[in-house]
Amino acid sequence: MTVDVLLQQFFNALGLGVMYALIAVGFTLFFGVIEVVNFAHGEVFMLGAFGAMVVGTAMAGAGVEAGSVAYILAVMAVIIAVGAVFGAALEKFIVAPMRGAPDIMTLLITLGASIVVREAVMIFFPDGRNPQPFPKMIQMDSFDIGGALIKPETIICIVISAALISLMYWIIEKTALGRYIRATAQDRQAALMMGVNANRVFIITLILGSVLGSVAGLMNGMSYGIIKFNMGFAASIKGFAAAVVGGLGNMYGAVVGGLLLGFLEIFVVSFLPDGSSYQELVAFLIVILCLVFRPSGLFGEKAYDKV
Amino acid sequence: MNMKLLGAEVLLYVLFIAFILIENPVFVAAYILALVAAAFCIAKKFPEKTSRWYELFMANLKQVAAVAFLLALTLPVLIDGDAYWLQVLNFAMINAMMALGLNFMTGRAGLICLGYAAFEAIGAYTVGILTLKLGVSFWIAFVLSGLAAMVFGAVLGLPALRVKGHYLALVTIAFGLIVQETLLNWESVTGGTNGLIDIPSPVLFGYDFGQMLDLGFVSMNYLGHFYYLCLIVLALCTIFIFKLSNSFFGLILSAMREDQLAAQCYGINLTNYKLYAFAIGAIFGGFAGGLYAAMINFIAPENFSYGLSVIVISMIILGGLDSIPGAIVGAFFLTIFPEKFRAFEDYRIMFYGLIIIFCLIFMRNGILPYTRRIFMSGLENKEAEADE
Amino acid sequence: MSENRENIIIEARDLTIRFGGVTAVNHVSFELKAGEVLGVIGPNGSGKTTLFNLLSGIYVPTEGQIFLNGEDISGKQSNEVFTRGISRTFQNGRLFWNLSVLENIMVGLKEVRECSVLGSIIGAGKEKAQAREAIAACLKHMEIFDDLLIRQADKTAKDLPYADRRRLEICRAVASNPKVILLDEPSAGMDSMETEKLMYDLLKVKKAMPELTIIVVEHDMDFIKGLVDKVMVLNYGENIAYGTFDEVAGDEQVINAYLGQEGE
Repeated sequence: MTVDVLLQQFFNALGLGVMYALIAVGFTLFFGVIEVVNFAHGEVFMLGAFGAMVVGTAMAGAGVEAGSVAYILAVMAVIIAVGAVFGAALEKFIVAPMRGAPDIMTLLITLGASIVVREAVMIFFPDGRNPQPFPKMIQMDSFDIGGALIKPETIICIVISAALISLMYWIIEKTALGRYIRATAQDRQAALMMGVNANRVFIITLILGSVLGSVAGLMNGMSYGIIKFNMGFAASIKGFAAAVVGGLGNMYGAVVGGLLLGFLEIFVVSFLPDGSSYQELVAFLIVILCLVFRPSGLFGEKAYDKV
Repeated sequence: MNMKLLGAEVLLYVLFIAFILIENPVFVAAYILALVAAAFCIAKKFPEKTSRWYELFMANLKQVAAVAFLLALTLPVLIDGDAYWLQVLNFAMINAMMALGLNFMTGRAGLICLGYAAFEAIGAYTVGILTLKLGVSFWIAFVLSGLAAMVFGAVLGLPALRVKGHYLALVTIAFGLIVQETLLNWESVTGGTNGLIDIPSPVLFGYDFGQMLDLGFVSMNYLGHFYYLCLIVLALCTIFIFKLSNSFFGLILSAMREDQLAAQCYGINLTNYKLYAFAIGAIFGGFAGGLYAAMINFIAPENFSYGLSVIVISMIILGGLDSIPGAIVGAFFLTIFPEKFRAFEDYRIMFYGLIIIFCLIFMRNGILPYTRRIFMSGLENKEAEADE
Repeated sequence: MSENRENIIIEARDLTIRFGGVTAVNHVSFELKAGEVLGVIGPNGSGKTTLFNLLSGIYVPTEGQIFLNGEDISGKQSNEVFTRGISRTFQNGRLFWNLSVLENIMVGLKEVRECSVLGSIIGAGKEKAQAREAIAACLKHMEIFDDLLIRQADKTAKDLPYADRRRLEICRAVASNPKVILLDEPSAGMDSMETEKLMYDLLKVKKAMPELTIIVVEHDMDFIKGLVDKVMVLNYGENIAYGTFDEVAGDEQVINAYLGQEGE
């Protein structure tokens, strides 16, 4: 195994890991603040990818060059809009009506929502049943790092994710909004009494998390060049798994969990014999191991029941 | 014997037959709409009467079930042995068994399971491998299919012991996918993607279930045998689940569902009861799979996907969590109804998703909510004795 | 202390629990004989509920032991603690909300818990008789509250009026014939009339079950005064005073810690 191959795999793993991390941060935010496991989170990932594809193709059709400022701005606007609308709609039509219902029912309704969205794309998107080619969004040469040729998409994904996660960190830790979010996460009743508008916090949390998910979808499209209506399922399972490994409710845990999952998957695929047939099982294996040995995740505090 | 209830049930049966016999999808839609609208109006206009009827229904479940069983015996004759509808009805009954099992786990014990299809897969492959490759009699293989599912249920229960609600959802999804992956990759035993083909039909005392069923006045293909077999197994499953749910054991499981911590503080060993709930709930999936394999003669991993698990969940949500009649009716409705709209086959999965959302928002307790308090009748006896 | 140790039902020895850096209960010790009533008082956050969680096996103590009838039960799971004879109520009320009143009480019964799975399927007609016996046992305990609970036996717990929910919790806790019962703020959310009624109800429980040892966390001082033999005052997890109500009420440290804070 030469250094350049190792480097190549390192960047592949990093690219995959940050994508999982972005999805996991959404899961962990929703769980921490709204106490909801949002099984529809994978669908915003899929919708983000589809939105980027549609706008990318349209821009190319209109003669705007891929990679130009107008092109990138348009894609970004659509991605953010998709995430925001999805998050808001989810809160309004799915999560809010279930407030006060048993956890199990909230979980099931997000599951129902995910099916409806996924199937709707399959049925109503032209030729939605089949994989869709994702337009090339940037025109750059591969980077030569230590002899390894790294695709520009990979580098861009890593940079965007790092930036977004830092931004989330800043929002949560340093802004007034973040204080409300943290307060609601810690004690909803007390936050309400202190004048925090919990409903607004919920909707903003869902929007923030969903935008991260939709950006992850864009990154997935850019990295693999092909997208499909059912791509959200695997993404949501892995994002959820990463969040669980990091400790549900812990944002930094989610990032570490995502990276861990990405590196493990790439390791299994490239270094184990016949590894690619186990790729999908890696996530489950580490989740089950984690739940057996550290039920509250790597970074979660030991949970005590509220009595 | 309550005659009013008997009359109502026969009427519903006639309406059901009419539903099957109407072929034009437009008429079917109009028919369903008319029935639903009528039911809705009656419930709105006479709420007290409706709830009295419902109480009557819930208080006489044994009679209702017995009558339903007898009526169901006549169904193949009334539809003139139509092979297509026999197939659909058989699927409905197999799905009803799965719904009963999942309802026991999720509705009764409160343990969410998003990988229930895996139990059907285990049952189906148990029967498939044993009868096809080892030449074991179907009947032995069938019993083993339930036991195999039970063992896997307990295995799934082990990691589940340490985790709660949300994590359990993930573990059970993982379980379902791992089983499916294993079936795909373990080609020497499971046949991989191609699955198992030509699974033999059951033979009982030299009588082959694969032949035509001739009742003299009407004859039907081999599916007729499976209709009656499924019906008997479903009846046994229902009795089994009903007894369990109405026992002290069922009471403990429902206490566990309501509040695990409080239940533990009242002496309930959560570990044991979670394992019981998983193992017992899984048995029914195993039986369903065993019947499925023998009836279809062909099984492949794709038949037992995550999507199937979700469909079974939509059935128990529509019927009402923890409601035994609800699970059966939900399974029948969601299996049979889409068959009338084959032209809209694409929308089928989306329809299940919409059902889940609709029910959870507008009728959280389903169409046949669980109401009967288990020990009510016992208390009435006691008071009657005290009065004497 | 050593001459009549046999009479000691429950004993806590240096009970301590730390969560991270916080010591929620700090070297608390006490011992109670059969039929004694101990009131635990103290300001909010002084570790009263945590003490109950330790005694009922929900938390494992960092240090110290709990003895029930001379047996060390510290570190046992809460279901094992219950079967050995400690039952409890919860501060915020943790009934089985969708079960009926009768069913709520039945859950704690030994016969119910010890039914076998196979037995309940095969049953052979025995289950009806068993159910009737269990119901009779429950009714006996429900009679403590006259017919208040009995006439609502078929209601689901969530449909009960607030005060009756608390009664149901107490009834559920005593139905298993425990040796020790832990009552976590039984009068929380009740007005003074209801609180007084509850106190008489508890006195009735005491009369009906003279061997029952009761530990009760309460804020209402009249309630404590009318019910308990001994009072323990907790402050920051420490036992700062122990004695009869009058002794404790005169203790300067208590007045500073407890009443002083309340009066501010």
